[in-house]
Amino acid sequence: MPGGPFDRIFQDVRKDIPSVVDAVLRQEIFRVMDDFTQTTNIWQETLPVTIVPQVLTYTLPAPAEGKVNRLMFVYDVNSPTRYWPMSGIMMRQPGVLTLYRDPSTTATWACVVAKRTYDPLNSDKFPDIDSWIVEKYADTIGRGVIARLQWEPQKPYSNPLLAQQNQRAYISGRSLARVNDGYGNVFNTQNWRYPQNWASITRKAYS
Amino acid sequence: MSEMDFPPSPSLGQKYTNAVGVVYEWNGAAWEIGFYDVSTEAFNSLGELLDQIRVLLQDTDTLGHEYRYSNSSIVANINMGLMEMYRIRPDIFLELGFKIPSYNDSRLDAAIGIEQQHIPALIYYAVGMSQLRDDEGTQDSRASSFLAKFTSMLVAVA
Repeated sequence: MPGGPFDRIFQDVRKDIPSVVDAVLRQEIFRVMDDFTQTTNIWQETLPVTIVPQVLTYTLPAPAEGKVNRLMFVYDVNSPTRYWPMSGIMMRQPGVLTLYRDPSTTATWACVVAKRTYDPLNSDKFPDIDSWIVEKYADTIGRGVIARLQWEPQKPYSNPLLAQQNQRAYISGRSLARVNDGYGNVFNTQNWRYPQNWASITRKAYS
Repeated sequence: MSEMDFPPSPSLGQKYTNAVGVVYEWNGAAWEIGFYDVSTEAFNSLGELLDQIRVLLQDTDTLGHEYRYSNSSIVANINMGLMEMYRIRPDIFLELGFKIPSYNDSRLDAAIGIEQQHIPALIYYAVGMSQLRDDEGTQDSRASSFLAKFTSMLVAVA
């Protein structure tokens, strides 16, 4: 039997999708969570890394759960203010930090990374992710799962038309989650952003 | 009648299946003929599927000491039904790593590896295939109905 924060999603989907197999439902939940976490950057962790002169590439420690997907922010833990310690910090390969310039001194940086769900699964065979994310966006995740199931061909529950509707609801909820998280989930924060080409040089990626 | 080779010193409830698939159960005093397990209406094991298939085949009468359809012939149809099920709905076998289970009549207590909701379709397939056999009990339209029901249950809601 399923359990934990995915329990309600599992039950909601099962009541709407006749004849779906448990293993398939779990598979689609995994796919939706992978997409949801990759797109929203909502699941984050801070990983330490020691920077030394003459080394430009660093492998980040493995996160507690999931897999590193995107580098959100880097700061020097010994600095009184938090800002990017150097321009041109990149993570083209997830989990591998690369510097554009040779660091002049040894330092300890904190890398805030957005994670995606990945194997191994938890004991209920669901993605191992912070429960608050699943609880807060249960309806959105459920819509995404139903859309993926309805898109499957030659099944009793195939329904391309409803799949489109559910996918739209999923994408809408996913966008809301991304925006909410970007504003720290605080009500009535500014609803506009500086145009991104105004961003400081330290935020610009080098290619 | 086929040769019997009952195991010596049986324990209470021990089962024996003869060469044509008739199941006997030791009741403490004698070998009693009958279904694989008459005490359950569940569909968890191969033997329990056989029971229901025999009901639909109208092959429950063992007064002649033999069924019309042997266990092995029905189990072969169950195995074929699983292969056909895999072809139509491979997702049903995801939990099994996309491997099709195969059964034989020497292990009637073997668990059925697919979800319970798909077992009725498998029963209908085995009944339909058994009815296709050329004997006095053959009813082509009934066989076709069961086989059609199998497919429709896998790809449609009703």
